[in-house]
Amino acid sequence: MKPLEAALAGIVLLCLCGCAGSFEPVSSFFRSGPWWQAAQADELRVRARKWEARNELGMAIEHWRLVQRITADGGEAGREISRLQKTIADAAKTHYQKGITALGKNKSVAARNYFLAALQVNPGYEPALKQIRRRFSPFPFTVYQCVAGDRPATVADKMLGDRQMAFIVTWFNHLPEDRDLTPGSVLILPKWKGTAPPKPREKQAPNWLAEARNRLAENDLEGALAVAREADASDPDVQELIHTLHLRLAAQRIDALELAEAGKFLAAVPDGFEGKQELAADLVATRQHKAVERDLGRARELFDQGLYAQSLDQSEALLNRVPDSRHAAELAAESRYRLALDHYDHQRYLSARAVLVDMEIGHAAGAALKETVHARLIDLAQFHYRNGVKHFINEDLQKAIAEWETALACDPNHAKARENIANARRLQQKLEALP
Amino acid sequence: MSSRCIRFLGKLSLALVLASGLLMPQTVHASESRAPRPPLPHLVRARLGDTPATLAQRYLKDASKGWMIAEYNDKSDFSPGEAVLIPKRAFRLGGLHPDGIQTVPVLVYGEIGGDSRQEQDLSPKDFRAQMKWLAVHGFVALTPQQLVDFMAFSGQLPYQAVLITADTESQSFYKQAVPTLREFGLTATIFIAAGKVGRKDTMTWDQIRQLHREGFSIGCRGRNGRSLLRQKRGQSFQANFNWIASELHQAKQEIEAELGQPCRYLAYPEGRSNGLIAATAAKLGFSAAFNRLPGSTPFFADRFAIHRTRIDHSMKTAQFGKLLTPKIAMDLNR
Repeated sequence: MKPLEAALAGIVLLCLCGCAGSFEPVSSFFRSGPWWQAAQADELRVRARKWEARNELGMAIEHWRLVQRITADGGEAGREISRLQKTIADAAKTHYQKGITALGKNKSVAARNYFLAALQVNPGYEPALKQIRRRFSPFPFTVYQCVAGDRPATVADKMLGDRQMAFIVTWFNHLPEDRDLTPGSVLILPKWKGTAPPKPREKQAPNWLAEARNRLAENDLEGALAVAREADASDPDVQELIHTLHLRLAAQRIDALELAEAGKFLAAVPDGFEGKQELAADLVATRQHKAVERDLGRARELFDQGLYAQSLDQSEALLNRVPDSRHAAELAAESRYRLALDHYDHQRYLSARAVLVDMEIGHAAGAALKETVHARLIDLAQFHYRNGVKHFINEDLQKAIAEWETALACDPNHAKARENIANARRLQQKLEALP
Repeated sequence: MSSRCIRFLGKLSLALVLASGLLMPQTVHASESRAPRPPLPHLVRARLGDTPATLAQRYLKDASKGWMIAEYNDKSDFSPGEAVLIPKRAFRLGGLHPDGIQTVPVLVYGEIGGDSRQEQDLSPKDFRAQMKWLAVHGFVALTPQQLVDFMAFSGQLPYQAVLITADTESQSFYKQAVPTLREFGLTATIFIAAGKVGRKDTMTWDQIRQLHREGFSIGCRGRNGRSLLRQKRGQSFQANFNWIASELHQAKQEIEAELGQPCRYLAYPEGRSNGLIAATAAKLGFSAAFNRLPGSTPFFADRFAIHRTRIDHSMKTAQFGKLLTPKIAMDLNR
């Protein structure tokens, strides 16, 4: 029976090979086949929700479709897909309707953006794409449907404003010039109003101002500025547009924290121009903020290098300048704690206490360390006090006073040490006064 | 014997159940709907050392599409065993993002390292610095066909995409700029004035064919590279129009004859045109035409007036970087 079982196993394996096509896909099949894929469902659900949170609903749907495919239970995925499909359909329709309304109010830029928004949520939403193509995506041709009696010259007259342009009608439509045109036939013509032939060596002055305004509406500030600079600089409208662009660019640079650039743009705007004063104040505030961030960064670097004393100095200096800087206060507290801890670890308890004097009340670890240091100093004070007593008994007043002074330094409230020092000094004076 | 038979049947059933279990999850929903749906991304398991490029080579048969995998998964580093989705189609048509739309910068270079000191000249050193900047910052150099597909709302471009063009047929460009482009793995579109090819200090047709074979796109800049807006003194408008049509038609035919492929892209000579010239170009079979006005291109821009930003010696690398900073322009009224 064993050979039969082996043969059976071989058949099953061959079947799988047949399913997969070759041995490489077979290894892939076992490595990342349906079991593994099904185990990724949770990860895909997370990704789907992330895309949805970013408003990329098409991506979210694709992820849910994948979840539906790889899991046996597609109930949740199916519900999510239906919900998202409805959201997409509603959003696309709403944006489209708003676009149509904006068109009715002659707000073409707003209309275009609504149509684009509709396409963003649903790239297959044909009405929005048609509107974009028809109204905002220029193409060099226009079409004309012939009526009875049309000839190339009459069409040229109607469409190009000059009968002499008949040769253009014929060239674009491969027609003989003097032929009657069939009513209903469609001609293509250049989208160009050739009312008069361009005169030799005469440049057609482009409307730089209009072009610059279009760029501004598209938020292409650099492009708008470049185009505006081509326009007549003596025109007050051009000047105003350039100042506006400089202000917008300055604001953009401030947002990007490119303050030197922002300053240059701002300097190009005359004082008193609307919005300059506010932006200048904004620039000053941002500069201050940036300086604070820079100094805080340096203090953090020092902290990371273990230079807690320097980090504490930097952050305290920063706090003096900006008392309400929460980050500086936190860094100062942490630096203070680490510095004190360092002193404590090296048994420099007095230094640790000195550092901890200004410890923030809310810093739990700092408060605990303060108590520990205090307790250690009390113990030390007692130790030095006893040493002092021993020296006193041995009649070595100098050493006794030194020990009691150390005890007093460790514990300024050590009353006996204070009293003994006074007594010892008096005794010392008496002894010195003896002949 | 009978007990062995029962054991065998049990093992056979187990094998069948396992085999059906292997196949079931993928097929269970296959019959739910017969309506055509966009292809779903392929879910794969990353291997040790996998990058978007290696995954793209393995699953899309094109390493240059690594950016699609990186953008679809919103990351570019994959650890072994990690789930990676391989998109099977464009997923952001027209560069539409929730925050706005992608616009594509198109650069136009003139002479690189030539003897003349024209305004558009750029030293090979500066050109190299700019190409290096593009490569270091992960920019993908496009072909004009990719830009046209993007504008037709049927293609998607990487977030960091740029179309590099040059209005020249000079030998100095071939010798100074082309090696730099090759070095950084960038492609470019070279608009040539067909009538000038083969003259002194210009490229030969053999050199142009070689560039074409290497993947550079060859476009047309008219026959003599002279502005089509110029009209000779005393010339009638009809004669002038015939000259424009012939200038474009002859140049197109000459390039097509030399390269054995349709020439679909036009750069208006001297970057200037009007509606009539644009319509003439479209009628003659060009798919897109480029002028020399600054600005970048959204998908719905005029395909016969694509803006290009001129890069010359006055542009510093920092400015260049700023110009190329990918941006999502426009507030979509959200």
